[in-house]
Amino acid sequence: MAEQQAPQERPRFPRSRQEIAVAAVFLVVFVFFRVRLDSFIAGRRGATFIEPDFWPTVLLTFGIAVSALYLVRAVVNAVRDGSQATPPDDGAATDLLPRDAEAASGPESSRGNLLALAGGLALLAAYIFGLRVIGFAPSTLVFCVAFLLFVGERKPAVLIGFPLVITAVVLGVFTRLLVVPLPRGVGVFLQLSTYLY
Amino acid sequence: MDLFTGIGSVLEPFHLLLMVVGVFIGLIFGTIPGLSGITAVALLVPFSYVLGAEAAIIMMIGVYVAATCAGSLAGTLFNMPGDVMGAATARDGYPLTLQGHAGRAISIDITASAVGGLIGTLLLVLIAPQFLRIALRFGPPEFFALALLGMTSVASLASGSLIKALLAGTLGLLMATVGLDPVSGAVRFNFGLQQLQGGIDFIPAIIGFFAVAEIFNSLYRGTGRGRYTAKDIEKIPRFALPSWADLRRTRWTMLRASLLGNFIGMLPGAGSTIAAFLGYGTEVQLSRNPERFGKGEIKGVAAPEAANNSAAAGSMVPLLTLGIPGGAVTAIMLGVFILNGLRPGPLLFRDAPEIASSVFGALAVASVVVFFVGLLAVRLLLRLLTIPFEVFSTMVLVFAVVGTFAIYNRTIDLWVMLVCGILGFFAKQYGFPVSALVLGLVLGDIAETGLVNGIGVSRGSWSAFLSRPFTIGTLVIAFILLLLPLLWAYLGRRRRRADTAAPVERAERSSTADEQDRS
Amino acid sequence: MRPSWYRRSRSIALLCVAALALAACQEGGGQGAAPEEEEEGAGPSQDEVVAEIDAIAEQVEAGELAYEAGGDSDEAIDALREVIPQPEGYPARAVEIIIGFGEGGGSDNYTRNVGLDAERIMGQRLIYNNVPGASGEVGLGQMFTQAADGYTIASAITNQVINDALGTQPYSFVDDVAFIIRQQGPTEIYWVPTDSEFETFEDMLEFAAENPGQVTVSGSGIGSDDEFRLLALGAELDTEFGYVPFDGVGDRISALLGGDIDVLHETAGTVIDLYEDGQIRPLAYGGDIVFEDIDPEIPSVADLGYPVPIGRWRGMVAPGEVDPAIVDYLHNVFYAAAQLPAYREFEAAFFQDVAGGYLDGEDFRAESLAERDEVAALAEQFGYDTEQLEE
Repeated sequence: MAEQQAPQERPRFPRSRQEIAVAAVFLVVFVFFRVRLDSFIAGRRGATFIEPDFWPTVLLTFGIAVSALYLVRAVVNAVRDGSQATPPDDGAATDLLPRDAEAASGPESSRGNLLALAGGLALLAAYIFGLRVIGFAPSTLVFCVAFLLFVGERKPAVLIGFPLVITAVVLGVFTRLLVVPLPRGVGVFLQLSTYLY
Repeated sequence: MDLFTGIGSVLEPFHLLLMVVGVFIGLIFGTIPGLSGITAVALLVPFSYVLGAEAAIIMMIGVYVAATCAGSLAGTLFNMPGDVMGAATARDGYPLTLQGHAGRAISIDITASAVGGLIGTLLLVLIAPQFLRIALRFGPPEFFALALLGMTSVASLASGSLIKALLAGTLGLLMATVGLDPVSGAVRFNFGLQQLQGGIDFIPAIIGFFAVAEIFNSLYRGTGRGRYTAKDIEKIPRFALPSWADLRRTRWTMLRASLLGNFIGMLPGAGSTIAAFLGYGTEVQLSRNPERFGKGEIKGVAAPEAANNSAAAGSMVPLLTLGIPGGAVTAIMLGVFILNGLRPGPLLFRDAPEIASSVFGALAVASVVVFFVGLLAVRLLLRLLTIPFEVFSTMVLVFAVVGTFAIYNRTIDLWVMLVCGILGFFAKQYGFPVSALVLGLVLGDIAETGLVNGIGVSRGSWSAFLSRPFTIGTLVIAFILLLLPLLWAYLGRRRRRADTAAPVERAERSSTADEQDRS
Repeated sequence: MRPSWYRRSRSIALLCVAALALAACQEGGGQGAAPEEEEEGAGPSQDEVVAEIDAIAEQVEAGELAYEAGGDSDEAIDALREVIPQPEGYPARAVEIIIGFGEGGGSDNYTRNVGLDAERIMGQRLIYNNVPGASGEVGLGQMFTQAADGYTIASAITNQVINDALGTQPYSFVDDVAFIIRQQGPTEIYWVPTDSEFETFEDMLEFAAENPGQVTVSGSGIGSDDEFRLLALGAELDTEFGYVPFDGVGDRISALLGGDIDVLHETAGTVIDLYEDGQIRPLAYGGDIVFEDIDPEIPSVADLGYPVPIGRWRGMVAPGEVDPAIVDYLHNVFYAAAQLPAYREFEAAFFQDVAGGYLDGEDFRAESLAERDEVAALAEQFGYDTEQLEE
């Protein structure tokens, strides 16, 4: 399981340019908040020796400096990367784990997977939103089935059994034993939830 | 001796049973990604009425100690720590799991927890009053210095790029400023959302950064889990004691981290989270091979574990002697004391000595119980790794949602979790250490409150930060810790000048070195 | 002996189930066959109900009615159920109380302790929902998002009125809630370390008058009742106090003991052990009540002739649209629960029995309105800049 960074295939959008984009995002975000800082802080001033905007200002200024440095290094690396096909130095692309580095630069990181990511994200967001509207039990059931289908589970036993079991276990443990007021939803669902817990 | 009467009381059958049940609850809550020990302790509050103070406290300590340990187990197994402390352990624990050494990582994890807990308890009994006197000298300027000291461990979390670690840390610190400013009362960065006035709590953030991000990551890469098969698990012994080599390798680490953690735990408001990161950071900075950390260094598992479990014991000192809670869990315990008509404080030892000694005894016994139950459960825990990805990911997301919600019952926390999941995903894609983000988030409030109130108590004079001995001392330690890696690097370069090793080979060498250590 | 063992074994069984996390078992407490009320409308007036509750409380005190804390039911509870008129069909299920602070804090303790007997009287469980953040406002905001059916209520403290006056929230506390009951009054005391150079409160004031801003005092956050008391005191003396707020009780106490601040404005119950242990001593009682049990020699700030704008109270509120009959019912339940031994012991331990603070819903509302005006006036006087808060 040696680290294998050298023989990576160059994707259409090379890593070094992605790094530039990331650095730019950081810089833009920090600069934006730094410039518009006052509109994000509401409250009395003059009550303490150090104003409530002091600490964020320090942090943002520091952030701007560091992300500018990052941007410069990313650009330098990209230029060097373009001229000679050496692996990027540790300033640019060292992943947390060897395996991750392997996977991240592998051929899989294409658009199809972005779809998978977006889908998972959307399902989770819908679940969180659904909790408020239709309550815990229905939204968990629906989410479990949908997510299982989404990640490719096709066995009917799992598709039906697992959501029922996990919903029942969570409901039992959390509402009966631990008395957590799980969301109940509104309207009809409020009545349904009230019946359940 | 207080400790022995306490142990005696805890060993009564009824109490022991509660303790074991508590340990089980803690282990389960800590290990299931998305649930956390704080959740478990908070949810048990109502039971204290039924059980009475002594029994309730014994059980809660069981839960607390077990969950402190188990939060890191989830981090080690799935990179989904349930708690901030686990975030530190996950940095080296998870790589070990990926390399196929999950059993080894968990054994050391549990052993270090038990060692930390026991040393912490001993220190608690022996030198608590002296330590406490120093802890009381920690005013706002010292807390600011301590937060800076904590931030120096960001450097140790950098896997390769210091710039990225700094950016992640800064972002974390900025996230901590969201909500009501604790000192001036100003509302900051709430983007018009009333619920955000409460700020970003770090449990939802951690669940997002790690558990949710990890699922997103797998979805994106199309890589399921399934690295372990039932066969791999058969190889693990039923009672998975750590290997002698691992123990020898980590014995000083455990001792150092326990001492450090215990003291940090005693500082009201600092608690075990800082202890875990400082324990880890110190170990990296003292190490002559810092580049091994973050890639599956067993010391990187032992250090934060020993530190945070020792800190858990340490945090009982201000609670018992002054009635001051040192962290989230002890705050809840204070409530349990009060609900049962007891008031922790200097008079507790006079009015209810049996309770005070029960706390000592429970801490010691809980560490031992966690050790045995934990090691017995290693195989069971590893079996979790064989769950098919489809079912596992669905389960994690459901528990992440329930666990996040159950802490404060706030919907906003769920959205925080989701956003942190996205952030965590990108952080991982581009090699930003998520643990630095978490550290920033935890230290942000401490740093700012220390700064603002430090100026407050000195009535506008910055000299507070330069004239108080403990502030200076802490700052000096932070400075030394920052410089140490440079020193090691210098010495290392001199040593290595002979062999012209390329960076890639060096990494390879360190992983072979790991393999040798194992055998 | 037997009942306690019985309870123990039941709880063990319960916890084992939790540990295994396999099955959800039915908890034994919820058989809420509440007594039915015969007639509606022509029931007794609130004053009569309160009088009857008081009578029952006296009987319990005198030992004429059996009372056993924690049991399923007893004579006292049965008698109270008899006299408290119940709205039709309420409560049909558990009632959720939102606590705007974390577990173990003053609000949490108050709510859970008064809830002990309240849920027995109601025959339904109370579900405590700690939603901390922004000095109670996050929890209150959450209450407003829930249906106004009486199944979600919240416990509130003085900060809610202050924040209303300062306009920090998108809603108005005083205008938008239905006031149920106020139950706790202020018990704050000015404390100093035993070895402090300030012998008396006057010493401290004198020094503060000569050295504006040099006496550091700690309390719980800016925009709290602590700060307004100090602002008022400072204005009276034409000086300033160095107010250093700490969020947690622990931070405040260690700042005092560690010598970082000179004076602590803190509730009696929280630090009484430190006082009895000789580590701290009181300078003056923060309000107009002298706590004889602590030290009858110490004056109260009001006795000394200084203004005391507001103090920390705690009470229960519901969303504004809740049926008045339910609000009255809840008032009676919590009022009755507060007269029973379980809560009274808790009160005594925290000196709440001296501080009083009880107001019924109507008076609670009137008082809150008055306090809001008072705070708004003070805020203007002290240059609290509230305009930036509106966006």
